[in-house]
Amino acid sequence: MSHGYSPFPDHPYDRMHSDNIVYYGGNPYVLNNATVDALIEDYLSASPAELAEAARLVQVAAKYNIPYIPLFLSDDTHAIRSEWTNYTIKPGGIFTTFNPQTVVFMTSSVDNSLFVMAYSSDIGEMNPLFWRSERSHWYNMLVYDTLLSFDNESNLIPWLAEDYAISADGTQINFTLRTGAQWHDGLPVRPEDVEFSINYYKNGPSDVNDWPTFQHITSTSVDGQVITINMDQTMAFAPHIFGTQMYVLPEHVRDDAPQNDARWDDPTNGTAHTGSGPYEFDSRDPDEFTLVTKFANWWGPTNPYVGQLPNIDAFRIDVVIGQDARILAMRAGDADSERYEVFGAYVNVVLNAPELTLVTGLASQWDYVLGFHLNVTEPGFPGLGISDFRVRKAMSHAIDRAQLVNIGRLGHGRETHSIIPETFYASLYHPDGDFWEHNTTIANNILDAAGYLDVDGDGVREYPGVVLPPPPPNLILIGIAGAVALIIGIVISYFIFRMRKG
Amino acid sequence: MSEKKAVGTRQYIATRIVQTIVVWFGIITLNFFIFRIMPGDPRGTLIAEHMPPEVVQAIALRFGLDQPIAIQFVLYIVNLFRGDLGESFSHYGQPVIETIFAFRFWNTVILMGTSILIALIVAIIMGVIAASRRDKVIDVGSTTVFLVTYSMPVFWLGLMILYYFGFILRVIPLAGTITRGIVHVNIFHYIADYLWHMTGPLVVLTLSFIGGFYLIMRDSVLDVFTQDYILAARAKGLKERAILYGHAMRNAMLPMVSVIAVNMPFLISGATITETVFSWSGLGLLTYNSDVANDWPVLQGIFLFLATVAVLSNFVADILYLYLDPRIRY
Amino acid sequence: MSVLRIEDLCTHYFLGEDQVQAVDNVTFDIAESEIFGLAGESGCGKTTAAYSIMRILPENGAIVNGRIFLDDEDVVVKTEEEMRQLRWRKVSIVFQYAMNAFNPVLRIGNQIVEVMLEKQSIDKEEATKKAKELFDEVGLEPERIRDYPHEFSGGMRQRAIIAQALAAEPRLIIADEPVTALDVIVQNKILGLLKSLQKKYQLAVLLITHDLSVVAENSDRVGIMYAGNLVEVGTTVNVFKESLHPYTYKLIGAFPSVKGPKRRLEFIPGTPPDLIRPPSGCRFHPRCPWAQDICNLEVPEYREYEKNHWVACHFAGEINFEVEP
Ligand SMILES: Nc1ncnc2c1ncn2[C@@H]1O[C@H](COP(=O)(O)OP(=O)(O)O)[C@@H](O)[C@H]1O
Ligand code: SF4
Ligand SMILES: [Mg+2]
Repeated sequence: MSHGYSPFPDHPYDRMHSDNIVYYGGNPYVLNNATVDALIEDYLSASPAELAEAARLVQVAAKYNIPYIPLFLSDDTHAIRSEWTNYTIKPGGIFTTFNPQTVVFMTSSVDNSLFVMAYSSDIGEMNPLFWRSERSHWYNMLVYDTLLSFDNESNLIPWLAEDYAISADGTQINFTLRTGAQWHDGLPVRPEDVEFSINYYKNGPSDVNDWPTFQHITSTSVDGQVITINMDQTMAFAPHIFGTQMYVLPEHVRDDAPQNDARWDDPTNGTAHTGSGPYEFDSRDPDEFTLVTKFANWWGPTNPYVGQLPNIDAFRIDVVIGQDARILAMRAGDADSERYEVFGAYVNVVLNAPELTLVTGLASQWDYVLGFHLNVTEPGFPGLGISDFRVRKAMSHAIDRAQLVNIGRLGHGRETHSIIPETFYASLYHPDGDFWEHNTTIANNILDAAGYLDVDGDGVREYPGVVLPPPPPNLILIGIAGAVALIIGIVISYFIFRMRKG
Repeated sequence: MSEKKAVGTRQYIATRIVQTIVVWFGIITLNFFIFRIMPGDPRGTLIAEHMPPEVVQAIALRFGLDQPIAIQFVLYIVNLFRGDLGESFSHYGQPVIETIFAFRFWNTVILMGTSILIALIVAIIMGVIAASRRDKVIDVGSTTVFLVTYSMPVFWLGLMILYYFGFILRVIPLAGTITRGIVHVNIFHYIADYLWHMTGPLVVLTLSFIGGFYLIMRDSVLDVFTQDYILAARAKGLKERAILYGHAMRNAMLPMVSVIAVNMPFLISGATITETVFSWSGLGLLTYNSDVANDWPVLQGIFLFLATVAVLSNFVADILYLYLDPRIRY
Repeated sequence: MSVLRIEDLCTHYFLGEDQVQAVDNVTFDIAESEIFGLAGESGCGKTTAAYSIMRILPENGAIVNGRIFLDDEDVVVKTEEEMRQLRWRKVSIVFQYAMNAFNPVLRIGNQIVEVMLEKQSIDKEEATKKAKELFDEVGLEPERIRDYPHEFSGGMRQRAIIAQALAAEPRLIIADEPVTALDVIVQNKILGLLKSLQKKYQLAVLLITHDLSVVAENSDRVGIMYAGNLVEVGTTVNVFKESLHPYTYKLIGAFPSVKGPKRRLEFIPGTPPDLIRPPSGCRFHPRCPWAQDICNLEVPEYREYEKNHWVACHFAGEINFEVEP
């Protein structure tokens, strides 16, 4: 199965905490272990100083419980027209929702007036509080700004905010808003807008994205350009969530209407989509296209991490349903790239298309794992099989990840050994959490020692304690015996019958 | 029409109306439960990864998915009669009626309507001509051609057209119903653009429909040709056109009424594959996307609408027969 | 002058390699206002002869030899279009299966008007008026021209068919088994009607039937067909009272007569021959009690044995039918 990574590793909670053993929750493995829960809670509530050690412990806990075996990250094999260069190479890929840099820095050797992104299905919702797919999210990123962003090593960097600070215990975060930023309608972005946005998220309906984190906010305040958030507990990833997941929204547009008002999804209402992002909403025809144009007064030049306005004058998202059609559209110049990377045989199609470049050597967000349902047991063998840690450990030893990448992704992927893999989260990865090395001898020894033996010699191991069943009866013998009995019976009946008659 | 026939007919129509309503009710019930026994759970798509457990609950609550199935059913029926088909899961919170009818319905009806119409006209004319020149070059030729188009996989044909005419020759667009990103000068500009985008899917659909229609028509004309009244018409020294179009076609058209009635739901459901290949945003594509996304309310809405159209068009076909074929009396 | 003259007509059907010699060397003519009865067992080629005259043979049928004159115009050599224009104007046909001779989904009146518009230079209104008159003439209520075929009984439909046959004022009407499908009382009414119309309009009629009593009572002259050949032609009295051909004699004997003296009912032994490989010589020889050696060697000549009495038998006039060898 596969998961998707966000730019900061809060996924151990989703995947391994017993809270998430809910229908369609993130923990389908049904790992229900109080120790692991506690380690994850410590990790999520670690102060900046404690975070690395807490992350190490969570990784080690996974290694010694094995709800799933990390296998590999697929590569971001994106197809893009060859004239485009200077996109930003970041873990996750060139077109993720946490990579606004690509949008700003990318440039064409031919024509920078328009970049067309082909989508396989349309943007679901325009309202940035409720994006439900990465497609919508990526559109939100063009039109709205977050306070912070990530550099190429997934460290937080200033974005709309020019600085941020976290108190030593981690319960207070200060964002310093950049001066001179403007909304698309020309009004200034005020620190009050930021404060408004925080509370707008917090006071929204519970299905607003990241709503639960916002509930830990006890108070907010503004002092000059500084916005302060106070929380009731330390949360390791609060700066990431408030800084990179929350879009700053204009109070003068949003103020009077509820968070889920229909106008925020209405393509005919231009003002409803006012943001401060590098592009402003222009027009949209559902299931056809969405067009945004460069915002000339964007704050980019004032931010040393950006230092410029975007090179591209306009972005258009076009709906082109089939993969074949999208490749043709890119080759024809109707589109420049597509939302997701190409898979399977299409990789070669792109490699063979002279107009296109295949982005390689970069991990995508998609994380492939071998997951176990830990509660499944064979009747009569409680605690054995998949629910037996020794079996999972043996499997972990037995897996050849290089082979999987070759077969599953035609070589376009990279192995992952920890649940917080180095390729994606260099700063929080710890080698202690690396899963069991690939070694089939060890794997076989573990199973032998645990009593999983192949008693009947058919190449498949049996559960411990299974004895050889008695050999199956010889069918030929039974057949002969039956035939003899039948003949004797007939002969006897014949004579009895004759005696009666006689 | 005699008095007796009129009475019988009125009774027949009344019975058919009652039948139609009963069938329709059966279908709306089935329509609800069929999704509940289908594998897959809408929560899977509604609830993205990274959603905290509280949010998962909140979303389920919002769509009433936490209610017992009986209550959900009652709500479905009650809301149905209030014209409310619920909210789409995948077009977050959008009313289903809007999802279906705002523009997708029209895209499909225009595309399918035009292609079925063209296919019918061509199939009928070619069917009559082929039958009247049985085993001649034109008959063998057109039968071969239409058998080939009939058996060609639609997606393959679509891709070929997309590749050769869209990509190599650049005479048709690669995706969509309109040119993306342009502002149309006026309504005529818009219509011209729309029709241009319709060419590809239209050709594919027309070709895929024509074969079946043609074979039925040809067969039916050949059958009519063996009838005595055609010999009589020949003996009367009527012109061949008068025999073909005045006598043979009218009778041969009778089976086509059923064919058209059977195809009516297609008119609405759209052609999923063709719509996908050409990114034509119609109901076929919506059905496909909703199925992938487990978007029950939208699927239910589409199926309900389809079933209604199917039941109604069969009803209309039966009534139409009464008038087209004077032999039918009840 | 004869309205119809057929000379040496051969019409065959092609079945793969085989040829069905359905009509072979048939010669006869019909004079103005004459009713000519063509009789013979089912399958002997009567309908084929009729369809040859109108040139409406099925696709696998063809006139392979002979000439057919309608008013001295040879229809055999006419193009399809010339033939089309000639149909109904010169000759119309009353079909054997009147039930299905009308298109079921069109009003009867329209089907009659249709042929008038095609064949005569009149407008639709006049044509409708004429159709009503014809209906009246054949004993149908004129208003019922708006009915559909299925709303008519068999007899009514046959009357309508006759009305249709008159629509383009032809000189000759071919009536192919016009009453076969009807019950006896209706049969007589229809035949009476046909006869009175024939008189009124001075029509020539080719009355085809397998029913000898129908021919006997209604025709001026009679032709008897056997296995694709015309074996005897003469006035009705001559043919019936002074039969020359053994087959004619046997056939009359096999038929109960409606009127006239009661006669013995006879049975002709054997079956009609296969027309793909018909018997050599006289086609009747395998069943003919008076057959001699020459009969299977030589085809008997079709000759005028006495004035207006034609026959094809080697021993015509020499046989005593009362004595079978
Ligand atoms: N389309 C046809 N193909 C082959 N044989 C035919 C066809 N139509 C009629 N026949 C044969 O030709 C012979 C004469 O048929 P027909 O003229 O209908 O006889 P009748 O009218 O005297 O009953 C019959 O033996 C019949 O089987
Ligand atoms: S020719 Fe000979 S076989 Fe033929 S009918 Fe005369 S007698 Fe009989
Ligand atoms: Mg006949």
